[in-house]
Amino acid sequence: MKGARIAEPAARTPDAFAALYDEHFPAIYDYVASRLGRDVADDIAADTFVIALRKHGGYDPEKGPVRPWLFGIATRLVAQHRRHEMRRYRALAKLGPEEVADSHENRVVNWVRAEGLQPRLAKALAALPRGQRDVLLLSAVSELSHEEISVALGISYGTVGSRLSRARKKVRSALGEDNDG
Amino acid sequence: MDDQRMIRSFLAEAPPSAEVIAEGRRRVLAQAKPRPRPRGTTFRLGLGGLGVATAAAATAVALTVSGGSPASRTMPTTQLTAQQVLLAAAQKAASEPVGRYWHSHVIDGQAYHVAKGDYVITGARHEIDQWIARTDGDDDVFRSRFAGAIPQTSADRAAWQRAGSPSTWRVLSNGQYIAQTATPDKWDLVRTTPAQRKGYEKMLARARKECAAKPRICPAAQQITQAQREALPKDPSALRAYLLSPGGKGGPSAALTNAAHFLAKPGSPKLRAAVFRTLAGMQGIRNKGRTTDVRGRTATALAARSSDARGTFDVELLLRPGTYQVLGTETVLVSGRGAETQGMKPGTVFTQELFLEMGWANTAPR
Repeated sequence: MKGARIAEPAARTPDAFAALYDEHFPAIYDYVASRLGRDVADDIAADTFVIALRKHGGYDPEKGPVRPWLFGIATRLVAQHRRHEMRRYRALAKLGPEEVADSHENRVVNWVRAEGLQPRLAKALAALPRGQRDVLLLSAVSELSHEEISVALGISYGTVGSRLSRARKKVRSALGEDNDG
Repeated sequence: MDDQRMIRSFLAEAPPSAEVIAEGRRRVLAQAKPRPRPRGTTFRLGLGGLGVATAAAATAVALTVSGGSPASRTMPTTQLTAQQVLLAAAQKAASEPVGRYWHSHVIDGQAYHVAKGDYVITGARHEIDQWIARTDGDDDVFRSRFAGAIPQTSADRAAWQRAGSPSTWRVLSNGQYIAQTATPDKWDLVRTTPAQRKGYEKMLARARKECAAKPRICPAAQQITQAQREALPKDPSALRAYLLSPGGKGGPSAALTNAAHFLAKPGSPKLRAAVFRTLAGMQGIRNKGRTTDVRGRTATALAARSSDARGTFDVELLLRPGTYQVLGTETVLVSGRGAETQGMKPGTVFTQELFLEMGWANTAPR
């Protein structure tokens, strides 16, 4: 598990918090940048930690590791920027077919583009109810487990499973059955 | 095709730059309020998505993570090669103005693992701050001290605090335990007048003469004179052999260390440029991209691998992005072997020689 338990009260000290920041900032940034783009990701990822530090009392080590707690804060911040998120999906739908470096991830993206699927994928993401999109992106983008997502969003394990399967079904059907699995 | 993976790569952006990480850390630790800003007005619609990711990756940290974890990404980069960085540094060095003193402030240090509490301290932090006069008319000023040992990273600092914040340690060094203390020494200051320097130089010249007659009594590594150093750009193969010392047999990692030592001494802009150009012509030096040194400074790291009985290391020559000012060297642990690197994680800065000041100045302390 990536998110180590940072025991209170050690994490009350700025240095311990700096260590927590160093460990988790890149992942939180990736998550926020995926949903809102780089323009605002630096501010919102940092805001996540500012709030985490201020709400330190709100962190209950009994409830689990720090990582899902941070993703929960980030998700609530993302929710305040819904228009941003929607605009990002619209922009992603219009991406041109320019060539990018030949890494594996980029081959995947190119394949999405070559098939002309990016408008459909972007539209499907935008059309999801927020609760389902939160679960789907915490799972797909940041690879949180069902258990972590349940802690992050404060919903039951069962709800995570049902939201995730509904969201994935919608995305898959938007992309066409032949792209399953 | 796995739809989750597809979503991840579709939305992926370049990782945060070192500056973004550092600025966020500063804001968080200052407990600054989230800045209110009119969201939605600054979003550049036409540049959404991958176009931005590609452009940003050019300026961002070049993060190349090899397979394994499904989260790992290889972002497209247009990062400069080590050779391009070195040639740019050479060009910059050639145009630097000279001053009255060569001001060099260097701090060395070595990592020691503290078993009780499992953290790393940087100890043996010897600090030399000196002003070397360019002409015979000015005094040289030399200050030095042992700065105290400190926990190396913020995680180490946290572990040190959990261990009760000890201010002395017993650590393993060259097979025996030595003491390290957090308390810094007082600075001592030595001033050398032009007359004293003349006497010293005479003594050195005599020693060199004796050496030439009886090579056996001489120290293995003879320091070359300022005049010999300045003659090196005329003979590229000699400069190359010098950087690859001992005896032209050192590898690229030795060349990076030797170049840093060389550049820490006063030299003409021409000489400094020649050192960078010579490094640019060597194989085995790669650009690791942006990094942060143990003092938190952003740097471009040019690295070469080296191995010895203590482990495998990346020797990194650190340059300030944009100005190519030399920030020093760090030897970063890749994988440890033996007692002295035991307990240290990859990424630990095993040895360091950092330049806090390095360049021409027009004033020295009175």
